[in-house]
Amino acid sequence: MNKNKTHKSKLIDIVDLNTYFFTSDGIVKAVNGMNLHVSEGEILGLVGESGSGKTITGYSILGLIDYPGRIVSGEILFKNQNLINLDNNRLRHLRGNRISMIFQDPMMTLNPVLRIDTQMIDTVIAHQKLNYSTARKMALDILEKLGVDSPDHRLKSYPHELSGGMRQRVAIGISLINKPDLIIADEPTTALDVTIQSQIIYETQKLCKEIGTAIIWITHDLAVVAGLADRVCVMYAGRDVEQGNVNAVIDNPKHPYTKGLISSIPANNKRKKPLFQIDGIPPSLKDTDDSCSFFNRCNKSKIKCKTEAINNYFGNDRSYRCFYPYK
Amino acid sequence: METIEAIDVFIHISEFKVIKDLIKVKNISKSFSLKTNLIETILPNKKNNKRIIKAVNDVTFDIKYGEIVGLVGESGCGKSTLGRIICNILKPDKGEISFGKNNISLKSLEIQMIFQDPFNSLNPRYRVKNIISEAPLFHKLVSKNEEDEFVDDLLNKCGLNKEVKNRFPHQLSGGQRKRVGIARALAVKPKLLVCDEAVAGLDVSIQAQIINLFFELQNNYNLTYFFISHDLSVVEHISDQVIIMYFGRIVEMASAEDIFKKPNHPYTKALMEQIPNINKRNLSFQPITGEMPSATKAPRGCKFHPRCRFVKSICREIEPNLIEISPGWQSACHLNYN
Repeated sequence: MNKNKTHKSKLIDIVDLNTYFFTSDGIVKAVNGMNLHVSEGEILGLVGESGSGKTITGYSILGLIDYPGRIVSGEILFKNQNLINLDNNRLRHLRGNRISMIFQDPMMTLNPVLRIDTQMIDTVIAHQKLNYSTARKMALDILEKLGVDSPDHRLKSYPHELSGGMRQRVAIGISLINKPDLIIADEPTTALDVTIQSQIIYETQKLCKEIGTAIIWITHDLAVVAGLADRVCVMYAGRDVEQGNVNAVIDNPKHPYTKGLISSIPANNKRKKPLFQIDGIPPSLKDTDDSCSFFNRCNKSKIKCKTEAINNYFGNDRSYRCFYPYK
Repeated sequence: METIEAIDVFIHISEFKVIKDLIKVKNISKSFSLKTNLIETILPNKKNNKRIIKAVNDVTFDIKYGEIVGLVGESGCGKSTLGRIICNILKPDKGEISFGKNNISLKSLEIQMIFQDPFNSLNPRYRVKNIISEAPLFHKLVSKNEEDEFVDDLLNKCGLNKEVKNRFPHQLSGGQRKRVGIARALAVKPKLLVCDEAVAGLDVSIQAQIINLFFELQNNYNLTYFFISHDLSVVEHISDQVIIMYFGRIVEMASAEDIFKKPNHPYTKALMEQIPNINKRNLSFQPITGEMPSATKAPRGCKFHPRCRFVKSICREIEPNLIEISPGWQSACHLNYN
């Protein structure tokens, strides 16, 4: 069912993005030559360990990088319009309207002193010329679709009166209410229970299909991506190390890091036997160079990996950065 | 030196092939009362005078020597409270815990806990060395001049570099902090480790390292684990016995092999269906609806009935008991009666 999607046009195309943080300790290359593209209506899983630059990639798209951080170079083409260097007014038009974001902790992103209805209706009125009652009806409608029971009552409550799962539904409702083209979901279900997580994944997926919204689903959980995404991008130390169709990448990983991640999942190991483990810890992002950053944790690495700059290898809707990939 | 002797004793004991109960938990209940506000204190209203949350409600099970028992449940189901009761941090209201008979008896020092949050459970003003050696020095398990050697040895066993010894917790990564937490627990030579969400929130590659460390330590020290987690795939991987809790009660309890092959209770079934699995692509199932009910407003009858797919009229009225459906397999569901 995903096969015809590859022919769709690119909604967002990130080319060689570099976002650095200029700290007193040195330059931290949080995103270091990132390439990524999402087609219309597609769900992309962006996977990586903490500190690999997934969130900063998301923030870069929305222009949310604060001092001391800066987008140093690269292109972020959203519908053929470069988002870098776009002025604030134009960005405001996009944020919450064409591109919106769901954050990990809904308690931090919802305003604690405003009622849910105010927050949802404000989002609508800021971008569309609608009156209050139409906007309220839209809010009601979207909450109902997200499986909130008695949405009428919920609209009148404050964020602290809702459970974690409910709050996240409201946050998702706010981000979807203007029917955006792209949603960046930054670990939206990490803090939730398994049952609530699957409810939210199920409902978000259904609603996005209905509206035709594309999603960049940022997570560290490969299993979630397997169940949800059309394509997957694996990040390591600020770079995309492997990208492609979810079945292709998970069934046949090319990059040693992807392969390691997949093998270390308990479900892929025999019960009561030690798990496959990638030794070592992710590298510091300070003063990294162009060579492969997985070099010292990799079991296939040779001297070439350290001395030569690593580029993307492309093929068949698939890309990876490795000199010695798995067949 | 004492470490080695202790290991010898452990090995000696484990040579008795009869599996012994290390801990017997019998009809444990624990409830917390919500604070009443000022008006309610002055003018006691009979109706809401006592707002009580039953965190753990009539729980009975035992942990056998050398076993890994996994406890699974959603947040708020009482799993951490149960862990704390076993560790003697909380006193149960009702019921009793007996710590083994037949030549193994546990002092409370021999039950150690690994806490969920490695940020808050380590003293930010102590260096790693002091964090680890504080308890054993106090209990005179090591002398002051053996301290360095002792700490080095433990750090090494937990997969940490010696240099870590002089650092403060904020200078460590999340995985390193978890390891320090484990090293601290091991420092007093426990027999039972209660791990409260010990691998939650860790990256996959670090999670694998920590789980392997648990296995290794179990082999080296003959440890018993009480492993509290909400991550079913991890529990499936490491446990011998699995306990599923919902709303303060055990709903199902069986050996890990059985329960993951053929879950009996509708809640267990629902949980298993919903674990995201790397081999399940393009999810198209209908998840269980609703959330766990609020702790102060418990539903009548079976606590799971508002969310259950197989609900019958009896479920709304009478709470099912935990009954044995086959040897070593208990489940609390009305569907098992006919």
